[in-house]
Amino acid sequence: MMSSRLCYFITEIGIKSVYISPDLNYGAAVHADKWIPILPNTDAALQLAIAYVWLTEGTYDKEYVETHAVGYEPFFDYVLGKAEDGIPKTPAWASEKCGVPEWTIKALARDWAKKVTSIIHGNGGPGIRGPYATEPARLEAILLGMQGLGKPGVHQAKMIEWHIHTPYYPLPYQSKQRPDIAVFAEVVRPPKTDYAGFFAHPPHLLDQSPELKELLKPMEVAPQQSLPKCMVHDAILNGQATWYGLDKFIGPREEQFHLHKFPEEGCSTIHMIWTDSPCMTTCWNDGYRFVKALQSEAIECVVAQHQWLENDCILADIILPVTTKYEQDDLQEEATGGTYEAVYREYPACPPVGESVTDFEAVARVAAKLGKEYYDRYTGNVPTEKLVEMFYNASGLKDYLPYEEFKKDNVVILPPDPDVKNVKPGLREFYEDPEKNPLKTPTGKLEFTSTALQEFFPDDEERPPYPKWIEKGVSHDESLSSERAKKYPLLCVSNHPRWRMHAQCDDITWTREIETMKIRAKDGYQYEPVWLHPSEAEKRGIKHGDIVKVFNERGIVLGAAYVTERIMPRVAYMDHGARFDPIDPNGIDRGGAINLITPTAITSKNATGMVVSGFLVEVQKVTDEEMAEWKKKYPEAFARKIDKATGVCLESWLIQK
Amino acid sequence: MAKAFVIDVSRCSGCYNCQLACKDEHVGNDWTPYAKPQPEIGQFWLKVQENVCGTIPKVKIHYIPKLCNHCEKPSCLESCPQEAIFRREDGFILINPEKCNGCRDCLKACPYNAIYYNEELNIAQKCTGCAHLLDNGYKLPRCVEACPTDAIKFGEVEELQDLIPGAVVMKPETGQKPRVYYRNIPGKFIAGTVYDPVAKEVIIGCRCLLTSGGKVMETYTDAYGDFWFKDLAVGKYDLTLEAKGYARKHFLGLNTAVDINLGDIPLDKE
Repeated sequence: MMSSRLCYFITEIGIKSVYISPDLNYGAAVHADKWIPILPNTDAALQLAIAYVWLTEGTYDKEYVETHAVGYEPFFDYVLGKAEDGIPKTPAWASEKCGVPEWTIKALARDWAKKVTSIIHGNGGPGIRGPYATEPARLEAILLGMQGLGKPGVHQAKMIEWHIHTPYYPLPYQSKQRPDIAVFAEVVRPPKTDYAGFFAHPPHLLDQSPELKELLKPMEVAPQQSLPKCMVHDAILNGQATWYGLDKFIGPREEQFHLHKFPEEGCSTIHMIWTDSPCMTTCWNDGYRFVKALQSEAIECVVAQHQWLENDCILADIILPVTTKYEQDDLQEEATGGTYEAVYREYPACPPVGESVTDFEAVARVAAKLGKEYYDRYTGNVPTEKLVEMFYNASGLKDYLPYEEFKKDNVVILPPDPDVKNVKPGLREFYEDPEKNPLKTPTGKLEFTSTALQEFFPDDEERPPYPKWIEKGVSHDESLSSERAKKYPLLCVSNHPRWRMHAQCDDITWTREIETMKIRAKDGYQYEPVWLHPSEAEKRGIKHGDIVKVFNERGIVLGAAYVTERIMPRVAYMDHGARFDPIDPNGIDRGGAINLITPTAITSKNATGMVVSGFLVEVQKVTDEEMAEWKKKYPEAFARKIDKATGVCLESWLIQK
Repeated sequence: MAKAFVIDVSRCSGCYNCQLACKDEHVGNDWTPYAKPQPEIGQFWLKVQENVCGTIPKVKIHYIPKLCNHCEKPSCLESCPQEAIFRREDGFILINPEKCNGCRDCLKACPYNAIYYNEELNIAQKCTGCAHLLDNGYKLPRCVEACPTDAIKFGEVEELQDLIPGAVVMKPETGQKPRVYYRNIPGKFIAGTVYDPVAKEVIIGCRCLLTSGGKVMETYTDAYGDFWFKDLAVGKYDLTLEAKGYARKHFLGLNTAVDINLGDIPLDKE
């Protein structure tokens, strides 16, 4: 809602918003002055054509480019058709690839060049999770650079998780203290490299709580090896994996050039999985392959630690039921919402349900089974009240408000930083003086041609030194021009869900009644909506509300057709995160977990990321005969009890002995 | 003294917080004598109606939160043979759940479909304006309180006098005099993009003349070659597109029973 209020503000002060997306998304629905529909994952083509218009019409900031950028000549040559491929990246060339009319591309390029323009993302969404998504991301930086990135009003921003990019984009309500309540795992296992301030607890804050530091000492057993989540299937099924970069998606640039392998020297392959976020099937890449990995002989035991018997839990051997935060005694900070920052004690709202215990307690009890010394080492036998104090003292607020004072109200709301307006936004300092305020690139400048990529991967055709349009490559073949598109002629776009938080909250009674959240089909089951343009639906004899199957070589996911003008032709749209409800866990899902059929390969050969949008599918109506056949073949899948309000009853997975 | 709601549709971002907050207040909570619990699903004492208008890429969406209009002349009240429906001093129309016998005459009488039948309890139910809260010190009904964009305003009619002129009510022809007012519900639109098919360029500044029964409206295409005539009444319209050096183009008898996107319109050179 913070974002929506900001969007209203942007409109009120007279700034026009142009939304470029395959779908008229929920932001565009109310805030767009102009919607330009574009085929999923084809932004690079549009961006190159915009650069072409600026170069041929001389409407970019030449002086800025000369003083703030390096390696622009080869990129400009590529755009103008003077590079090896000999193809000028004209609006006509791009139009065919991205589905935006040539005249609209030119109009957009000129309007952008004429006006002070910033780029705002919701969060990156499908744009950064497609095949070769590195290219549109880099092209965006180049286009902003061509218009003087850092100039007043020329920025890139995102609209959620406001704490992540501070101090570069301070908000009016932001405090000076920037409180941070550590997540246990962060302090137990601090990151190897320094990128604190993003997703890790700043180490200097831990120093403010010597008791906590002392308590954690015996636990400093850093894992011997790690693995990016999007490669777990590979590591299991192939027995090994190699990749570049950290196992996290934010890290220092230099890390991208380190080759890692799994298993590391002298280490084991995976025999057992213990997961506390069991949603690989519905939130990560190529879910059916993950199912296969869990079922493979290599895996001897799967333990899932979760509140609900959902998604990957149904493939686990042992389930540790844990509490929700409403049952826990905890300490919490609010720094991401974009309003006043606060730290507050969270007392349990209700006693733990059933046999559930906190995650901490669940692990502690396993430790206890190993022996008292393990339990003592893990817990330190510190009572909760004391733990809360220790974590408070490591939050950065110790000097501002001592714990004894905090305890009186159990909440502290922090005043806005009076100096916040003096902070120069974004890359303003770089804009003003690039020599004095260099970027973190090797040259300190905006690198249109990356010097590091040139050095480490000069021949990488999937992420070349300067960004290119990549229609297909060794990793992916997911374009409408592909041979595969004859069988799977729709490009699937998958957003972060509007009515869920990834896999969480798919079963909320009242949101499931909202028409864009679930569609109750003729069999009474609430299916995940599959957006289709009326023209595509008509071609396939599909009507609004029909049960449909979305499929490719990787499997079938069911949904219900949401026929709408909000999505462009040649596209199917389905949000991720719907709860996995397998008819056949190896290839047919009724729940609508679209990530089950997303691509196998990572972003590109040398770029480690998940690919979960911008891939080929076909959509067909599920006939009564086909459904009857499945019912006959998989009777147990259809025997699961279904609640009218919340969907599949999880107790149906229980076997009474 | 009468309470009223004023809903600014242009400020509604479709978050559905009002619809959800209403359920949070009434589902499973017994506020007798104001209302008995709402069933878990299926009833919407406040329902957000999503309206998708036009065709790709000229698509506009607006959301209209709809609830009981707490009419000055409520047909439901008159229809009730049990005299279970009554008006409070503050103007709220309530159904006494203990008097209601489930005959459902009020469901038929209400032109706004704002009343629901609770099969389990055999009673009619609807929005109470959260009277049980207002009688106990709360300032606002839950739906109003939950609105993050202040799209739903609530208060005495007198307090809302600045907002009511120019606002509309649903189905005024019924003569029921609703006390839920709406601002900025968009009318119909006629839109398109004008371009030169040879140069493959949009035409900027093309004069667009729209006439209907002697009334003339004028606009010019913007940087994207787009023109928009918004907030039109339902009716027949003639459109003329004129750009220097191009042959004129006419569209006759455009019927705004639905929103009209004329798509990308080529203009030929003169």
